[in-house]
Amino acid sequence: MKVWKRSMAHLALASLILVLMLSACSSNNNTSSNADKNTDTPAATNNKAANDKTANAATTDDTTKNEPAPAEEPVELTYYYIVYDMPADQQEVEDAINAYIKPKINATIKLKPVMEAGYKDKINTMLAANESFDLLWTSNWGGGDYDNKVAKGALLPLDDLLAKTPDLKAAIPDVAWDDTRVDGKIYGVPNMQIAAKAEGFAIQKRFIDKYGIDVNSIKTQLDIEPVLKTIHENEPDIIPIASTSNLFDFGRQYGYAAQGYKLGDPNFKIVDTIDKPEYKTFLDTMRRWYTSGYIYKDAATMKDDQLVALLNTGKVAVEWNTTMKPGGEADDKKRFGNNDVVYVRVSEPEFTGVRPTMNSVSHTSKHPEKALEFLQLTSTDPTLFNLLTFGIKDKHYTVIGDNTIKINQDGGYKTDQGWVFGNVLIGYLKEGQAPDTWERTKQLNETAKRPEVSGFNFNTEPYKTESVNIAAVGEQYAKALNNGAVDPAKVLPKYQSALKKAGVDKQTAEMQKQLDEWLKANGKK
Amino acid sequence: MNTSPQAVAAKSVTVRETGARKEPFSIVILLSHLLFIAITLAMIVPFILVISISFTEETAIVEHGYQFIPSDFTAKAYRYIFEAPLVLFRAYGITILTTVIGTALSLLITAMLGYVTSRRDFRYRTPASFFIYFTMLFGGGLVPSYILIKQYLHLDNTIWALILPSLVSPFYIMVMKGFLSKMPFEIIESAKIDGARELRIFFTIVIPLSTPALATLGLFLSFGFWNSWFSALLYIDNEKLIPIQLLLVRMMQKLEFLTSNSDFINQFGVDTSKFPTLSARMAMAILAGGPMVCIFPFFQKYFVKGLTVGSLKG
Repeated sequence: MKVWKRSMAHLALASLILVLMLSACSSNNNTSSNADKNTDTPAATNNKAANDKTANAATTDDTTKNEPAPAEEPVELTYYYIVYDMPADQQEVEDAINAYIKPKINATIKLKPVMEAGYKDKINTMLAANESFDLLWTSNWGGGDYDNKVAKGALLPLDDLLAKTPDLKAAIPDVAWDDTRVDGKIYGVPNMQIAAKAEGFAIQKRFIDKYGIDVNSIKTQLDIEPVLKTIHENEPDIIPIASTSNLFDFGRQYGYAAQGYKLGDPNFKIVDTIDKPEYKTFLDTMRRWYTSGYIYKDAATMKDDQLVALLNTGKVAVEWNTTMKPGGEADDKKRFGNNDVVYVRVSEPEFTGVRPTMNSVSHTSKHPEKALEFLQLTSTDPTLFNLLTFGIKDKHYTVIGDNTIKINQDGGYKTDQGWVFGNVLIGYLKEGQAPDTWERTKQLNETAKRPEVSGFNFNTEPYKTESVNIAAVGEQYAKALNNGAVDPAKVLPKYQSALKKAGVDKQTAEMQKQLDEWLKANGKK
Repeated sequence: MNTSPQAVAAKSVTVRETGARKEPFSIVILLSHLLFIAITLAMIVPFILVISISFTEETAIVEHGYQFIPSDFTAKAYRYIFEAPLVLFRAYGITILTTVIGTALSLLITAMLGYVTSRRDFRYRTPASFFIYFTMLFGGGLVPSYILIKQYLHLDNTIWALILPSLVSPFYIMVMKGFLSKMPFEIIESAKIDGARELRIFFTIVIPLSTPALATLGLFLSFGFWNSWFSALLYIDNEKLIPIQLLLVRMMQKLEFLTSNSDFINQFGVDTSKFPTLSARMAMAILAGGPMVCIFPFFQKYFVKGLTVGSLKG
């Protein structure tokens, strides 16, 4: 019996050793770009890990203090950012970039594109694990997760570092820097692009020509009605207007700020949608349009991808557009199934901030100054920006005019995501964009109306539960209401009571509190 | 069970009687058949729908919704996916490789641990069982395991990152242990008397006798490896090591992303016309799930046996 017991222990040991051996062997196949030599034995691996740990501890203990690299030793920066398609020629473009930037800033960059699908999870895990990397793309939507990362202390405050990169500070307007501030500190470098939004209609040109529509007569949202009527009566196959959830994001058209107070109200009192009398009027109008057949019948339940497919058929005459960006007609032509569109603006452009796309420095970065120098280049150096965005000349794109290019769709670098990397206003224009697009964009950014509370951003953390619930209720009622698919007289009361249950009052109170604090701090109240 | 001659006789009598009563249409039997037909349809119909959607022209889907018989038949979706066949086949290769290696290793280790902890004469059986069971209650969580895999074991960008994290599951060890503890100890004892050592007993007697359990666990494990994508998302930056499921997840989430952030997408001028379409999504689902659907029937017979494991062969 005893003999058996001992040999049983051997068997148990054998299986454990097997697991260990596997993990040890696997470090032989290591292909990561670690500077350390890979080791063959578990013991050595452990030693190395211990070293890593101490190195990590050293960097995380004091992140603001950074050891300057010796002058002859070029630094390698790591840059994680979001992509929608993996470029095939990634490595080639990276080599070209490194050849270009190494003499300039004595650093090379390791580009780490991450598919949008896992960006947030991946980056947050890396940050939580204190992994050492330098640059990352951040934003206030999708995977960017800016506020949350700032709150966790994952991003480096850049104010002191920016003093050493004056060109970068100067390349971006102050209003944009101010918009990135959290508690007075800058945590992100804005990627300059269109930062002002106007609202209006994108109308297919062929209908304007055919029916002699006078676009100058369209001054408000309601002025589009005759156009819809004309199309509905004469074009049986054409959908007059289609959209997804919110046909007209209720607000600016009715004199309310995005934050929810009435413009010009000295008390900045936030009122919720459901209490606004204008909302009822608006819903009644939408209901009339819907029953007349102007609005696409399935608008209330349509998802954005279905809208894209629908627009692609070319059967939609008018779309409500909430950006109205200069040169956007070229992009929209593709969306409308290759039909020319005309933009008609019905509201003044308003500065909406730069938080939709920024680049930040990780608190685990070993070379924050170098990282910022790189960002300085992406914001000021067209050569580097164009390399990052469009790849290599004559391979991934061809120049077809003054600063204008045509992207080669069969090339291995067609991602075209300038807004991720830096200042799009210094980059090439694409085929179909007017030569003065960037000037117009700059001008729009400068002349756009600054909201009274420019630089204020809500922190949703205290009312997270409520905001999720309210979004769910909106999904249920608001979509159908705003598209006129249901009778407001019946459904609006239901929507109101559901909102009350979801905690809209608490949310409004919390928003009001934050806004008031900000107003006091900035001497506006 | 009582299998006395009388009982057998009685049984045959009842059988003959029911036959004589000529009641082929018992209402109960009819209803139960209908119920199972309904259940089967509920499983098969959506699958057929997915297949037909994947062969339908996009504009037809937008205009008429999903249809069982494509009003506008096309293989465009598959063409779109096979645009880069190399990527797809490589991803399949990676998935198959991880599934095969992972399942084999996992079965070996699970069987070993299950066997050791099922042996009543093993002195440290209780602590060893507890050691395994404990991990079921308290996991390390995402971040510590990430640190372990990436910063201590340096498995990132290797195929092992897809295999090792999910190699040993305490639950499956428990199942294995439960199965093996029903094995008569006399078999092992007699082998010992014949002079076999532990390893020999394990490989020539225990393993062959536990095929039903191994087949069942093997099926679960291979599904697990086949469908896993999160570890690839975390640990793999090298595009050559991407499994097929991650490709699919990316496509799906691309569309979800499009639905939730259209404002920004329009603002940045991302060309949405290149995003995968409704039919391409379904085609991807078929390509990802298809192979497993084909494999499943071969496991069927073990599967039924494995879950109701009771008796041993001979």
